[in-house]
Amino acid sequence: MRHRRRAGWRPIMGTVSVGALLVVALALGQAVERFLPSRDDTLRPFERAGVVGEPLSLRYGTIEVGQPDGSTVLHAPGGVYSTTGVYVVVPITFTAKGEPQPLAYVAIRDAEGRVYRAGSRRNPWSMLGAAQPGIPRQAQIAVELPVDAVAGAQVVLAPRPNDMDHRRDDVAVVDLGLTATDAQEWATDDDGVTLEPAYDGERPPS
Amino acid sequence: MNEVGWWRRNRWGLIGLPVVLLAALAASSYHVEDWWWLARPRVAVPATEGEWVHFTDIRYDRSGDVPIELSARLAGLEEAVEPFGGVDDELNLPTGTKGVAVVLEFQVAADMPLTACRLSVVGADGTEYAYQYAPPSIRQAPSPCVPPDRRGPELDLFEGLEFADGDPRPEEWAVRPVVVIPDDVEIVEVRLTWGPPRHLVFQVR
Repeated sequence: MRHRRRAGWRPIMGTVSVGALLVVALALGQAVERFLPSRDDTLRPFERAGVVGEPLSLRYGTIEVGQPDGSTVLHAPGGVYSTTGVYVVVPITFTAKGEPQPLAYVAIRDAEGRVYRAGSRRNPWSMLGAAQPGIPRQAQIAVELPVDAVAGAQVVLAPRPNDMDHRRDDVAVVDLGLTATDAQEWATDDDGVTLEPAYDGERPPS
Repeated sequence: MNEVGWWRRNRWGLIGLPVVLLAALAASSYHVEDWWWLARPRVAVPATEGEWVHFTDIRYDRSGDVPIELSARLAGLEEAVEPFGGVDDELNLPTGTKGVAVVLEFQVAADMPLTACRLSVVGADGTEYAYQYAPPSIRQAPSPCVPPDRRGPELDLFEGLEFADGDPRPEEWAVRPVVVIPDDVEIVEVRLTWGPPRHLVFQVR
């Protein structure tokens, strides 16, 4: 009698054990996933911080950002533009490494994280193609900003034009060192700043 | 009762396991060709400066596969005295740089579309410098491998885009495209491609 009862219990216990193991495995997997970095985290770019006047070394070359200037009027090759905000003009020196490289993404990011992209008619930016390795490419960007976006602004530069393609690659982020005083001074300036066309070679001493 | 071992009981699963693993790997590798193999030149056709080399490739346009067949020779490297193609009259290169004229000779049928080529030179440290036709320091003909005034046929890439018939391209010609490089670079290789993965690699003597 006892022998038959034990034999009847064995398959049921086997099924329950398998089910319990399955539940434990799922719970363990969910717990592990909670501690792993999110997909966005693993795909994020590598932001390399820099300051004005200091060369910043990246995977694809070296970037040096010069002292920015600003005004309410911009004299650009495409025309003269005026703004109720501020035009910030930033000189950039890019020396490619390894093979010809472009800098196709340029933007200004303010202290609140808002991004103002360069590369349109009113925010001109052109490097005139890829820079040859070892030959510094001098260029300037001009970005129209609200006055309250100037203080604490950073310039962001990357080789690919689409910011979705910055995943897992170096992105230069350079603090422009701007303050509210700069913002107010430029917001009342209508003498204008001039955007120079890009050229190759060393920047002449100022 | 004979007991059957674990290995024997699972033999068919074990035999099938490597096949299944390979199939899973292949199924998830559909991006490897487009995103890695074709992203850069990977199949080199070697040659030495001064020697003729026969090169074949297949391009693709709206009409389908377009075969390319040509003979090419790197005649030499010279100090450039003018831009290639006569867009600018003279060279005005920045301090610290030099212009190298890459003298190439071709023997090709006149109806072969060859304008979309990429020319580059490689320094002793492996750095690659590309032919550029419109950087700030120089303006040249867009294509470094065909005569600027008799380019020959183009690939049919865009519907509605037609090119005016010019003078036919000769079946033999030489070009001197200029590559701007830093002063201190010594060129060891010249590379020419009409699209990855195949490319010509000339060793410089």
